[in-house]
Amino acid sequence: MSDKSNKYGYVGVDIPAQSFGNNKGVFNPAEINDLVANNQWTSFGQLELIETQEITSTVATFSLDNLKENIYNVHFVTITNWLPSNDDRHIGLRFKTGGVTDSATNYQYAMARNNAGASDVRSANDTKIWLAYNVGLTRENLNGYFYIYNAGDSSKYTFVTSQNLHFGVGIDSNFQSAVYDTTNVVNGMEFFASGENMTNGIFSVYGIRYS
Amino acid sequence: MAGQLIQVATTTVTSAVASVTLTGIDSDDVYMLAFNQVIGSSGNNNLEMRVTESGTPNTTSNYDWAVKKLDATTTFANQSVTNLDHFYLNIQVGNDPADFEENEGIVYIYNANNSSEYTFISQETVYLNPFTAGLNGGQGGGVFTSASAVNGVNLFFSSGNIASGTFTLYKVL
Repeated sequence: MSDKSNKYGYVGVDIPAQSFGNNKGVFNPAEINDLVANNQWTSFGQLELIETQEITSTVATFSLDNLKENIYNVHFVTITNWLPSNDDRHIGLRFKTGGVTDSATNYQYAMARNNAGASDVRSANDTKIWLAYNVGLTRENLNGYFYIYNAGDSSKYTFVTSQNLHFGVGIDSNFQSAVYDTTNVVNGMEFFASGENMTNGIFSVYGIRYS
Repeated sequence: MAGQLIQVATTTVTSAVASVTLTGIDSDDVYMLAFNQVIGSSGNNNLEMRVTESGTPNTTSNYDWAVKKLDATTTFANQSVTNLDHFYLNIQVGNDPADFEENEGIVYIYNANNSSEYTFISQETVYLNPFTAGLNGGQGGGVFTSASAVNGVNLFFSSGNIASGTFTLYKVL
């Protein structure tokens, strides 16, 4: 169907379809705002904040359910001031497919722990990815980030690299590579503690355009 | 962590090429390279990187590199070398898409544009080991020990071509 409405500087002619990387016409500010809102405006290299969610009460699990995985190949996730409800708990990550958390043995991880008393952690057939070990309580918050690769690609595994820092048994930093070794499309993620609950944490997920 | 990424250059390989060069580093900001679904034309191979000066890869032996090799199946190892003519991004990778042997990773680049400082990189990578199918990765970094103005990066495999993959260079603001 042709569109002969008057916009983008065109009058009485078919208006070109607009899309990222393919904007044609002369645009006024309102039209640009509309195109940005519809993800049709060309702006290379944006780090788009997709969503931020905060733990505001004691919960057993916490989810991010909006990844825009059909748009972005690489995602960037930040974790700020995560705390478990009980001392010395790990923070776990599972992915969601079709909105359902996958807790099957579809995960591998390899975490180097940079603590004088800590040993490295690895597993080649697990039900989750541990993002950090033995996180403490009072002002021992975990802060860090991870990247997700291929979440929306139904022909690829979903990979992760991460770095996190917290207090536990002294200062403890770690870095990690991990994989969710199925070709399921990932459309969400779930966080949890190794025991009991979680009381704090701010989680933000960003999309890295054209990565 | 910075608040914005500005895309500087991107290349998606869909037919085999010997290497990919991304240029456009022209400020003293930190730059970030993302590589996604990168696979070579031959297996048991290394994914490697050089810096470019005026668009030309520097092939001198001025690359020092050190990472922690992560492996879901065995003890981790420290890997380091000096005076190479390239950085490693991943060592001994496969090339079978059916076995999900693509390379994924992020590289941050520091001081590149500054002709009075060495150029440093930090890297975090992940891939599947072609021999064990186990999860492998590396985290660490390297330094290009030449005080020169670097304007980009050159990616390639130790032998054969890059069969597919996307490489994107961002300025971090």
